[in-house]
Amino acid sequence: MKPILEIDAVSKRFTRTLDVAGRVAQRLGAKVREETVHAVDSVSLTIAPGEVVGLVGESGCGKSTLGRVVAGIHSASAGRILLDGQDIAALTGAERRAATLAVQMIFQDPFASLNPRLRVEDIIGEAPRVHGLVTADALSDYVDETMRRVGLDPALKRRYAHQFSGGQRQRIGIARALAVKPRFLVCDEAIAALDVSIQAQVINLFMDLREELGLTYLFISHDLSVVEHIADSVAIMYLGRIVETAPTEALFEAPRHPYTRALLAEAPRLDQRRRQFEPIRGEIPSPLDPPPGCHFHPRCPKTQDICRTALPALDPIVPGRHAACHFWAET
Amino acid sequence: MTLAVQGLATHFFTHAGGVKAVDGVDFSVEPGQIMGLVGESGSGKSITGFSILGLIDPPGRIVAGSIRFKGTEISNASEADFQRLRGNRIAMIFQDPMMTLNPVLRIDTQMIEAIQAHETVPRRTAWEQSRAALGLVGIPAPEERLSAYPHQLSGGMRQRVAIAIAFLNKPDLIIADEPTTALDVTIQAQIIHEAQKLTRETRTAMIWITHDLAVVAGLADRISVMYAGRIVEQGATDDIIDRPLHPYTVGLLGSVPSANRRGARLAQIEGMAPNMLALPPGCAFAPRCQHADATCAQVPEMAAVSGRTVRCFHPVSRP
Amino acid sequence: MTEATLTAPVTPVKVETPFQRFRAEFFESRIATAALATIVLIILLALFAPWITPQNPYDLAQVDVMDGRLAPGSEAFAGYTMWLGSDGAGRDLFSAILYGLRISLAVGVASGVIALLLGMAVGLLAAYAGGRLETVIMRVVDLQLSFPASLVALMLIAILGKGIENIILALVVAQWAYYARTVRATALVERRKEYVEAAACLGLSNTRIIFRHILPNCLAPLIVVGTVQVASAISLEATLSFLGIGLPQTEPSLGVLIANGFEYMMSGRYWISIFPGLALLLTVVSINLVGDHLRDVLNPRLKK
Repeated sequence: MKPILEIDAVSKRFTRTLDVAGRVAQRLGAKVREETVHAVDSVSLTIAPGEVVGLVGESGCGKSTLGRVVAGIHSASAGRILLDGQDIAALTGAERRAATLAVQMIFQDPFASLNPRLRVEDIIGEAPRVHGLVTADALSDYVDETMRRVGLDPALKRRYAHQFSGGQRQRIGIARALAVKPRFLVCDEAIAALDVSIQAQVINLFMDLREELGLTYLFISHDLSVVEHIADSVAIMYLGRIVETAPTEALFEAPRHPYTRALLAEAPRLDQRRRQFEPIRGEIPSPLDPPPGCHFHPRCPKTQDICRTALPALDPIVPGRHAACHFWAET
Repeated sequence: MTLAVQGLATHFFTHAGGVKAVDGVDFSVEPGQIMGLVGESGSGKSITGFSILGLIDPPGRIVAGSIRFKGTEISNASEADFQRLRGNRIAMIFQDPMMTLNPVLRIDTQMIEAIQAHETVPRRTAWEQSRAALGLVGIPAPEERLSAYPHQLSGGMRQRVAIAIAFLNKPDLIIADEPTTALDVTIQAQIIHEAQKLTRETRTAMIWITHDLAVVAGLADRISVMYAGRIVEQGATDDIIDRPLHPYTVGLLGSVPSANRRGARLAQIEGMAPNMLALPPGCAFAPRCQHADATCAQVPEMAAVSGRTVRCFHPVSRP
Repeated sequence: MTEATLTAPVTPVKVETPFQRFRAEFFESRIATAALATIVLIILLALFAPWITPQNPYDLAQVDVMDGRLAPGSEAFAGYTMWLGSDGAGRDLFSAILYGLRISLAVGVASGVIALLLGMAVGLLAAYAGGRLETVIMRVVDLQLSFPASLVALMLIAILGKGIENIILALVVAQWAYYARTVRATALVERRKEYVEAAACLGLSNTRIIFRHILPNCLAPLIVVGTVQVASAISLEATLSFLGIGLPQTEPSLGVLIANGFEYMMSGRYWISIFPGLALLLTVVSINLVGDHLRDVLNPRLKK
């Protein structure tokens, strides 16, 4: 099947330039310098229509930045995002707008992601009205229908976002995205801020919407059990790079990268009691100053000399499976 | 018995009305024991912790109940008494370590102060103790970290320092409020590992407040599940996790993805947490409960059922 | 539509609207409530001055020089009681104060509103444009704020000359920078929030994002700054008028009244200066009290 979305060698760098005071301080010998973070470092990923791809990693690994590049909120420093084989950045006019609307994002924070000064009907209805997706007469019905689709009572559409609970606010955010008829949703930790019992409701909603609307998801999460449940394939990121991709079942059955293995072993599970094992040592290094070679080598139990100098390529292991480790074969 | 809480009720009196944040909570913790206090937001789990520490400020007030710490009633203790207890006999760990750490003081200054506040020892000895404490929580190169300021450390490192400070005076009880919620999985695993090791070695009792059942499943000896200000089920970890009886506990465990077949719809608890300003009369979970009937219009008492206590008229029966 | 999504929760949590909470918290403070009531009373008195006062102090036909410098409580030639006494020209002080309040309030509010609009536009531009333009704007703001407002106003009046328009212009120039800095700081925080990212993701235009999404969320701190700035505009105008370089005798604001009575202070006719002074003090203190309390109520960081 032709992929719906391709991430082609995308990098995103953030540079903090020095202001006047900083430059003066630098002249005087202070230890300040321009800092560049390689938040995303040449990442490629191909997503088929209807697929759910889980993007997993810890804080600072660049997963949210990658999601924002895909959703068009940040522009890539290098590389391309292709929708239906076309570079989105190269499109103009109506085609560009269609591509922008086709990819929407669901945010983590159900409070910060909704404008507190707007009524729910405006939060949901603004974009379809501005873009002329529905006529002014039909807008009210369209908002009702969209609210019902995400399990909200349309009678509440004159309320403001703060009058809803966290789970309902997340539904409003989902309705806002659905209102522009997207084909691809980037969910950035979309359930992380919700209570456990509400998480299940929202995960179910995501699964229902996928079936009803044929949506494709890039599902960004730090929670392995959620990703294991809903994703078809998984990509694991560490410090800006993808270290392993695999179909979900294969990955959870036999992780190949030592970092994936550590993540799987250390995620708390209900069936584990008073465990006694020694967890993986060390901190996640600062993305400002990542270690050379394989970024994971300072924490890796299998580190050899080559890991400290050479960056391992994301090698294909079997079709659909890749690992970026010099020693993936020796597991 | 390190701590025995009986009928604790902490209410808040706001202009929007009274909130029974904690309403009749009983539990006890023994030396070396870890109790997981589990609940969703608004369940009253953190307020319970703050009540024990004497940290309830107006408009909140402890309106009823007794809190006995090593046999002494402390629910009506003075602020001066609490200051002697806190950081010495009872320590706390917060979700945000910066609640404990002072941003403008070096780590060694803070740790030495914490020791000398409760014990007369020379500075050098206090410094040695601090270094040893940092080593215990798995901080590499503790000498270097001691001369650092909090902002120079990562989030995980700060939380470790906060834990080291909590254990400094070998307290009898530590109350940890969501201490790993803001941390990454690998760092969380390390912190849980250290906390578990330390409680075992020092025989400190610990109350671990969290929303994450999976965390306490691997950590706690006993679990208390809270809902809308009351404990609804309490017992040994294995009983609660493997054989839950209260419909809410059953629902919570069932909605965790790993409890469901991959790709299938999750078993979800319908509805949402009740508005604490307008709790339903009787069992607060009844409006979301499949088993609810007319009897649930009364508040059920905690009753002993198969080795644990449950607050429910219709505990889920098991084959 | 599947059954499961329908069974999802639809009842909202019953929470008070932010306005209701704001109102409840505002009126929790007795002193702020009293201050607000005072302001309302002052505004009403000023608005309806022609119907309340026994005399139009600017209608020469109603002023009798024979009534000059009467003590409080004296009876005027025309028969009414001058509860606050009269000034050197024989004007009833009570009437003069109410008419003076009209001018003082009008000048304060007009300059405040114009400065707010100007500062808001400049601040938003700085926050959204960024880069060199932002640096230039903010350096100008810094420069402006490093001079005392009274000095800036004094210099301008010296150049422009007296007159109500010039006074307003001087006050606007002296104060726009406070608004600009407040708006820029708030807008910078707001534009990083996820709802602004969402608006960008939905393909909305920059103009729409700025005016419909960011600006309405910057208003709370602006209202606080605006309240305090109106008070300081009123007292700044009074200062200038007292010094004789503000409003002319034909448009006597409270400052002019105080200045007029000043020469009689030493001769024991205290009331000519003191009563307009008290009116000014009451007005400025009330507005400041309300402003301070607004800041406490609207600032989430001070919340328990």
